[in-house]
Amino acid sequence: MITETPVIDKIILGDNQFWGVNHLSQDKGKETEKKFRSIEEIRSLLHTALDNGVSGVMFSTHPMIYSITDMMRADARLKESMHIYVNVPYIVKYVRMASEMGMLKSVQTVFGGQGILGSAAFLASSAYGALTNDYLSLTNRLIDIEMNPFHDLKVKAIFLHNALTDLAIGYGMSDVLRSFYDYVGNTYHAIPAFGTLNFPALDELLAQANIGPTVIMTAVNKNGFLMNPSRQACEKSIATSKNVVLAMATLASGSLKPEEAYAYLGSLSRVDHVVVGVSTKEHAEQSFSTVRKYLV
Amino acid sequence: MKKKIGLIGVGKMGILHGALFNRLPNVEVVAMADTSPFVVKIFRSVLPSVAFYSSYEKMLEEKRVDAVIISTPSFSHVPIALRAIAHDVDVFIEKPLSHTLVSAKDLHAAAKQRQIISMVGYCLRYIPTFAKAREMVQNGAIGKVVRVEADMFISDVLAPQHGWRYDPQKSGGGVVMDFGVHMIDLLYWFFGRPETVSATTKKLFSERVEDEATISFSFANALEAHMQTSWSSAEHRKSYSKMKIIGDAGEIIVTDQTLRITDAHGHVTDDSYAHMYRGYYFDIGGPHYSVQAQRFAEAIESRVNPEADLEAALVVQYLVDSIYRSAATRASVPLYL
Repeated sequence: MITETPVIDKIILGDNQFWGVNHLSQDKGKETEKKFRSIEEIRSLLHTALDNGVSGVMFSTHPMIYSITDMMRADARLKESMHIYVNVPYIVKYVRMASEMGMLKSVQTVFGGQGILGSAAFLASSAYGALTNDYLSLTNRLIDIEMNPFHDLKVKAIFLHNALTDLAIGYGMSDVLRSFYDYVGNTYHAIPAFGTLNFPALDELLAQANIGPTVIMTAVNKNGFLMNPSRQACEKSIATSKNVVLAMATLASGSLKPEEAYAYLGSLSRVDHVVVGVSTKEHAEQSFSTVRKYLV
Repeated sequence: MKKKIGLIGVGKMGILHGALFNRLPNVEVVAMADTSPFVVKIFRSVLPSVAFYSSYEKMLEEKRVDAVIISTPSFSHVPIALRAIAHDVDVFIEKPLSHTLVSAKDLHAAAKQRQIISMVGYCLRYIPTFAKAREMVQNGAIGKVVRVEADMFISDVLAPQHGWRYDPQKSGGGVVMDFGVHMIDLLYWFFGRPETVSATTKKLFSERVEDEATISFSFANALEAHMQTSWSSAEHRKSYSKMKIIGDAGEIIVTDQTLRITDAHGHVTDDSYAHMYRGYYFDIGGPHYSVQAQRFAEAIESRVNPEADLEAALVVQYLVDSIYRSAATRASVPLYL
């Protein structure tokens, strides 16, 4: 069990711009996607980050992730120096699958291979028997599938996606969080971490279940965007938390200017780590220097 | 005493609703029912405190629940809800209410007789931008509304699909019934009941249900609303919903993310979802689901139906039925209730 406080990069490059995700506007997201389509541009941006002393990058397991990780493995500097933070699973894929095929078929497809015969064989096998007693071992297999693209790269932390963490909190399923924490720590020798939009509730559940200290990625911004139940409650809980807070959504989906956004983060004594989304080299250099001004 | 909730249909939406209800102070999820033994086994292993059933009938008989969340495929909503009502259990039903108008009418009548509390999952009403836009329209911020243009798009169907949604016997229809119905509910919530409906529908990838529709609603006092919906819009990776509301003293353009009001002098004010977000008791898939759960929990306590009750959902069901009749007859259809 990890008892000391985990150490992560102060500034971590976000990957939303790689995939065209923008929470404020789909149109804006699409523009960014076009700009970032080429792997060469992503490579160049990662090098710019390293040149600026930023050696962390956050990835979701987007269907296109292999094109990026293959590029990184082939690039000696990125392979050696970039710390990777992975957010699992890629939730959009599974939500869509569940809508299209229902829960049962989705589970069969994910765990039993794509073919119908494969699924049938899987269900007939002892795995199905084991499943009835130990569903959590199945989720471990899901983590393995999601982590495949990152082999031979320096994975620093693996985050359970905020949607799953928050569902687990909703049902008070600390066993699920515990299972994730133990499996990631033991199997990947990476920091088992959690995303959430409900920081105080997660912090409390982790403390009750005696999990951590770990890293919690959560929204922190002056507008209180995605901070629940309120900005004040999150600030209060962050101030006394044993966990390391990794701030995301710091610009509140583009509604805050970087200067005021990072000044606010700087005013919170327990927020020293941040995910920064950047789209161009100039933007990256500017953002990193603004962050450094307030978070030292 | 906390109100006891039973979850029927442990799928994507059911799991989400259950978690949100569970976080509310006055309710707890005590039972779950699903016809798949596999799903029941999985969830039983991680939720030891919840009673699991493979039959909802058995759950209703054995477990004294105060309310149920019905998040099964829509063709089973009415039979399940009727059984719940027979036990005097309140119902939260996922959208669409049902696959047929006839069954929706039966349910509405039964619920009225037993005085149960009902709510249907037309959740766009609780998206902050839409809620604010409605408030502005009602306060006369853009004067008298004369025309509305509404869009609802997603890219879910870009090839032939399988499953109950694409079988009209089970789903009752395609994109209008399954997805566009959210916008139909919004239009009804904003502007009341239309007098006539005319619509055309188109199949692109699906063989038996429509993938696109163009709909016109005519309201009293000369208000016209035109709506387009498609689940085969490749460029919309995520659900996209937009209303342009034109009044005689300005206009509002509202999406699930942004709100722009232009007054009679051309002065523009912009607002956004991110800016309106104020903190919710718990957020998993967006605050609209949280607010929806809160409203239902309040309603089963206060015994006053929420706005999006069976009464409202029945009007929406009439509208969907009128849309399909208009598309089939290629004629404008008056809305008879």
